Amino acid sequence: MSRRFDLLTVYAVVFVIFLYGPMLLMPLFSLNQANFATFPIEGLTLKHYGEMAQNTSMITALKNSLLLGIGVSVTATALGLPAAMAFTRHRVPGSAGLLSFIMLPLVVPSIVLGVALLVILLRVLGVPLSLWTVAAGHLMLCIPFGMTVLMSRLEGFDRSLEEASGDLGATRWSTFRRITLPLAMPGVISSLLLCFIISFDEFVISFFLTGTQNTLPVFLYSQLRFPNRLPGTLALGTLILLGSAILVILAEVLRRRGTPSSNPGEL
Amino acid sequence: MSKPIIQLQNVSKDFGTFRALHGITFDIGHGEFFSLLGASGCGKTTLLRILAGIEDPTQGELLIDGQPMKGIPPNKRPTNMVFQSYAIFPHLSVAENVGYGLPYLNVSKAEAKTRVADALAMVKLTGLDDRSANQLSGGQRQRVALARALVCRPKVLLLDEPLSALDKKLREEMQHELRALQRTVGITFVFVTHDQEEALTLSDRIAVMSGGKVLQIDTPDGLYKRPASREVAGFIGTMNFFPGEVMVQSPDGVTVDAGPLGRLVAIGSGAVVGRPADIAVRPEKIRLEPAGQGQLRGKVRSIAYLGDRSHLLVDIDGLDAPVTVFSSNAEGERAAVSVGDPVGLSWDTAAARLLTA
Repeated sequence: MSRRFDLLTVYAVVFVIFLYGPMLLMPLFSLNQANFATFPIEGLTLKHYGEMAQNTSMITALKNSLLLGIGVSVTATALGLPAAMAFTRHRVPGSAGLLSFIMLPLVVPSIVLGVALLVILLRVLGVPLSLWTVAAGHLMLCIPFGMTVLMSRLEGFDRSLEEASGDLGATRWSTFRRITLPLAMPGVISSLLLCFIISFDEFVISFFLTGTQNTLPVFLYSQLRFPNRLPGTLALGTLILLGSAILVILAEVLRRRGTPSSNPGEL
Repeated sequence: MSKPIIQLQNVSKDFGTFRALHGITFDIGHGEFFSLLGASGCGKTTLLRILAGIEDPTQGELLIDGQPMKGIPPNKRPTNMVFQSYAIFPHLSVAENVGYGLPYLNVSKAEAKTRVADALAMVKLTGLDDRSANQLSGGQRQRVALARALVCRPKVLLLDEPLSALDKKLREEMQHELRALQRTVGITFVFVTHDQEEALTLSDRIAVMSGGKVLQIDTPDGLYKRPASREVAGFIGTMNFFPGEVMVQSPDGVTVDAGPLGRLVAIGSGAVVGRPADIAVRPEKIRLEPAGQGQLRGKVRSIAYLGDRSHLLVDIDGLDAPVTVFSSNAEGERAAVSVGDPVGLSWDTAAARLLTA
């Protein structure tokens, strides 16, 4: 019994190291004095963080990506919520086909999407490439993700809650504002976070659709040619890792403290 | 009777190709406690949802307080509903739940507060105002749902099996409270239930429904004593049926040839000589006689002792199902029979009803 437990423990430890080990090397090397990401560590320093802060093109790329992520996540969630409501609340004619059509970007390789969008934007529509075209591509990718999260949340709660609200005198809009939205809030937050993360680290579509304004992943890729800039990249990576860890923990705390289950106390 | 509060005229409802309601026509009076009784799938909940405006009838007309309801959404109707699941808003407190509908009635803040307090007092939840809806027991949730609907002072309160989720003891308690509450507020209650005992206990009148049709509308006593069809008779209480063929009609009753059981006489209309008919007798109307006497002869199959009375099953030669007999255990009335004893069964002609449908 205890032997089995030991083996399992070893397995678990190895598994966790395999998952998180490489990620933890990044902060380590970002503190390394040497310019190369190799052992042995030559001494600890924060100078790379200073270099990073001086690197204006990197900071601009970061700003672009943050802006893009916020804009895309808000828009995708705002568009996804009514669509998710339509699919879960009403009988939409041809809903199965329509839904798989909306969900298509989930399965189409992003390189195909990227090339197709590039051709359409440049050749067919004649739109110059910019952050806006990247945003459009990200939106297409994010809407199905956001909708999936929102639909699972909306399916989970009792329809009679909305009916009761209407029965008590509320208009449809009022019902949405006072009942549907508050109860869907955990889903809305998940959708915002998920869409932000997808947009923030999306590379392929951005690579095709970006103009002169780089997003962070595209910028970082371009920097790989210069080995001496690697530690600055690692420093930035470390900060992003820290930021997303805080964000995920925050979201989880909010979720646990937030809205109770849809049918509390159901006997 | 003054003008009815609810008038249903030939109301039908289709879901795709399935017809859930067939031409329903009846009225409900002011201040009535009216029940829609039927097995699940009989259309009673659909009818209630049509009254609430959540579903639209495919055909027919509905008037509430004389006003046609066609095209009027639920939020504009003088009805409020207590949902089967109670539909308590989980993110709001008890007081916020109860006061939910008041902003739509142009009630001042001060009056809203008084009304919520009064409503909570009425359902005995005073002091729980700030309690989260999640911390309530089943019975309390039911009371919140009631208060939330009544606080809007509807002309008609619709209740969709509100007691089915409660345990037996609580259910009986709530039945009495519900009836007392309805008398106090004087509002028309339309109550959906599949529990015939509940319907009999609470209602002024009951509509028995089956397969999307109304079989019979009557008072509880009327339904019990004068069921119009075999289906209603079987649904309300326990009933013994003796099938046969109509032989003779006379002012004293209808004589039926019940095959191996011989000739039986019953009261009822609609008999046609030569057509099949059933004679229906309630178990408490049947008397146990010494062996060899009475209209029917049989043998006791089983006896269930229930304190004040016993329920006996008696096998009759020539009848597939045993006859149920409720026998009083009161002093001096107790029948001294045991399982396997041959007995006779008898009843007054007035207790036997002829059913042709």
